[in-house]
Amino acid sequence: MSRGPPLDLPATIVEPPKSKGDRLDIFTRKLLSHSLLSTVDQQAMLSLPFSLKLFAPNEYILREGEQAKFCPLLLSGFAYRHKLVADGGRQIVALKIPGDPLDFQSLYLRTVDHNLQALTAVELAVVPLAALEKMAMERPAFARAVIADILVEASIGREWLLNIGRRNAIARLAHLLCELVHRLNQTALIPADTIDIPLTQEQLADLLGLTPVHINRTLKTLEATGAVHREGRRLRIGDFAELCRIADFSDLYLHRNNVD
Amino acid sequence: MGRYFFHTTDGVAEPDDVGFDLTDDDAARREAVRFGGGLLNDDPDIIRNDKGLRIDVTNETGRLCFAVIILAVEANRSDGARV
Repeated sequence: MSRGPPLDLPATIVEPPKSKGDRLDIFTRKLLSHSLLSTVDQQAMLSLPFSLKLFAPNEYILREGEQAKFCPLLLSGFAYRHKLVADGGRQIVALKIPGDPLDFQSLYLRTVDHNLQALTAVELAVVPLAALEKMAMERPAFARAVIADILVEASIGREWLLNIGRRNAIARLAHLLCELVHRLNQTALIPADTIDIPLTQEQLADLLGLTPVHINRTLKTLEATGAVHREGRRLRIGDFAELCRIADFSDLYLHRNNVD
Repeated sequence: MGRYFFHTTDGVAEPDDVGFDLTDDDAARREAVRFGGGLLNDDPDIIRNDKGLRIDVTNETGRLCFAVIILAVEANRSDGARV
């Protein structure tokens, strides 16, 4: 294992032994959440070459303007995409959870258009883009799953636009938490009541377009409903049904029934 | 750098016991104004009371640094009171 960054340095790519391939299980599960893949395709995905890399919280994984040669797959921990304006203001534009491929986009676009940073300590399986491209050429179902994954991320982006543009603070925060519960439950198989939301007051502010002070007040209001509770700095889900009610949450945009 | 606390009153008082770290009083004032803007955006009816919305900003020592007060004033009140 090596410690990141940067990904454009030559990485040691090894053909994984069988046990190492198991590490990619969660990535396979992510793609299966929206796409049909044969067992042969799944086996091929599990044997993708990769190198394992560890990043510390806040370390950059990709930077705007770079040209990626590798696609990191998030095995554990959280990461986020963000963009900055000239005065340093930051908007978090996507939150990535275990199982998520972090840069399918670079299969088709030459230049990285945003920053990708570790939120918590993360483990990445770093796969050469060439290997993914080859697999997409040889396996149409995999190519289709790559596109579906990009489309679902775009759908989540549209929901976030609506969230930030039109929902009030409490519904906005509740909506984000509902989404995280759904996504974590589905891919990382983490039950709602054991999820630790790793975002600080300031990160929530940069994600939801509110001031940190407003986030704090909103958390308090949400806590008073019983929907969430805080243990020290940790934020946990208390009453998921109540949280969904406050957010007026519908999971349609997550496309969870895409393969039924 | 210091911790500032943003206490709100909009009919009911909501003291802030968490606060937020900011570089200086100027940054805290801007934060208070943006915070007030966010509260108004969330619920424009928040100032439908005689005293409006008030944000008192205190520092770590508990000293009041400044207050942001937002009021809506009716121009023609039926009771003839002058504002």
